Amino acid sequence: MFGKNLFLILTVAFVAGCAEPKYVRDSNTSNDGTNAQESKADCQVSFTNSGLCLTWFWEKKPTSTEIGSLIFKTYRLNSVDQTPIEVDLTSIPQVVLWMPSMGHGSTPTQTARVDEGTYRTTNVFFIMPGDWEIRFQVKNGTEVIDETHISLEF
Amino acid sequence: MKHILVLSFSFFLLLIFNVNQAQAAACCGGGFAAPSIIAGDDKAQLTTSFSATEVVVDNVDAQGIWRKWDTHQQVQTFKIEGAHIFWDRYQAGFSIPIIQRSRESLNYSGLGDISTSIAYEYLPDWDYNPLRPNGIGFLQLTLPTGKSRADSEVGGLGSRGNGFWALGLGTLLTKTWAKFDSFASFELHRSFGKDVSNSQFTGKLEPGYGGSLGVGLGYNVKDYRFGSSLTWTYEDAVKTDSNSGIGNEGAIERFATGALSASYMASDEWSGTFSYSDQTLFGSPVNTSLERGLALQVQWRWER
Repeated sequence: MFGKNLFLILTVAFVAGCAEPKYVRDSNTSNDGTNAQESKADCQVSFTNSGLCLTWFWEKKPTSTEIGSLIFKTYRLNSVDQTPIEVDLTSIPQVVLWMPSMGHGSTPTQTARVDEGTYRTTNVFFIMPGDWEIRFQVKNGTEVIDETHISLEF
Repeated sequence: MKHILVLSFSFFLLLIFNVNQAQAAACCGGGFAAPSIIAGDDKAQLTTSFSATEVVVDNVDAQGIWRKWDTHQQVQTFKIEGAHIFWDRYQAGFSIPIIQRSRESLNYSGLGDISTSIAYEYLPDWDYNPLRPNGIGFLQLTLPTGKSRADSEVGGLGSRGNGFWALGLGTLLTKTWAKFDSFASFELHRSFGKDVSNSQFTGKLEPGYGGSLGVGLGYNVKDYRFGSSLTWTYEDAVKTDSNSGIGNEGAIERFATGALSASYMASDEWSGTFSYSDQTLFGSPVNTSLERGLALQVQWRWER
């Protein structure tokens, strides 16, 4: 009798505790895999120490199965009219994909300079969907000497 | 008497199995390891298990939004566990997991977090009281032999555990009524911070407290047992302090694991269990991945 009651109580508890999923499915898909919309050069994103500003856009937006690439530019604002002037960083920065809520990164990326203050990052792949940061780090050896980041939902 | 022992043995072997499975999940790392405990009348036990799970919900974010891709991670775990009575009602145990995590063509494997434990039967059931359960308390030390998520340079694929030193304590309560049996387990642990330095992160990780609460019910027929269990698991946020000055508070992690199982007691010395576990059915998960999996376990026992 006691066993049956316990079974009933646990059954009710199991049903009452059922998960209620709130799905977002394939939030990163786009028709052509690209997103050529560059962020505005209004210095909303700037490096911590140098104060240099950053804009970026997807050259090829990554998907759940395909690797992507992005272009980013670093610049300072002209002191007269605040127009952006592209300038190089002190060294080619490292781009790190980081998931802040879970505290882990993604697969390593490669970055190369393509023009004055303009860089291309390839091998961009997010290991899972969710909230991500793209961290742009200027390093001296293993030490990060300057950094900025953007946040995005993927 | 033998029948009761058979039922008890099969129940306890499954119980231990379920407790372990329930906590071997969540994103990238693998959760907190559960201790190996002798809950029957044996002198020693040795357990090997193999589980294959697939991440079916790739991410549940800190707001509880579920995200699912078409390509998922797979996790395979081989585990050796043992426990031995060393003095009257005291026992010592260990657990050594080897974990392989893969996604498409990428494969990473190695040692997970090793755990050791000391347990004491503080509530024996010598007189088969109809209501009072059998109670065992345990103290557990987890070694950071598996990589933490932040240690992994491939997005957590290389992670094989929480990767922190951790000290925990808990209790296991069991009771049998005729052909039915049940258990309840509670465990609380504190993980300790550490420094990490790799190509993706250089700084300090500050974990906190974590715990789990599990309940289970079983029905025994001859040498077979059919059981179910549900375990809720919680971990404090892991705070990250990067040397560059960018820090993050992280987010708490929470999920529940339901399991169904079937056990066969081949003899007094050995038994086998097959089980199915699912993390998508219960609870209100946040900041985790959710898995489904199958597992097979074989256990050898030595009587007192």
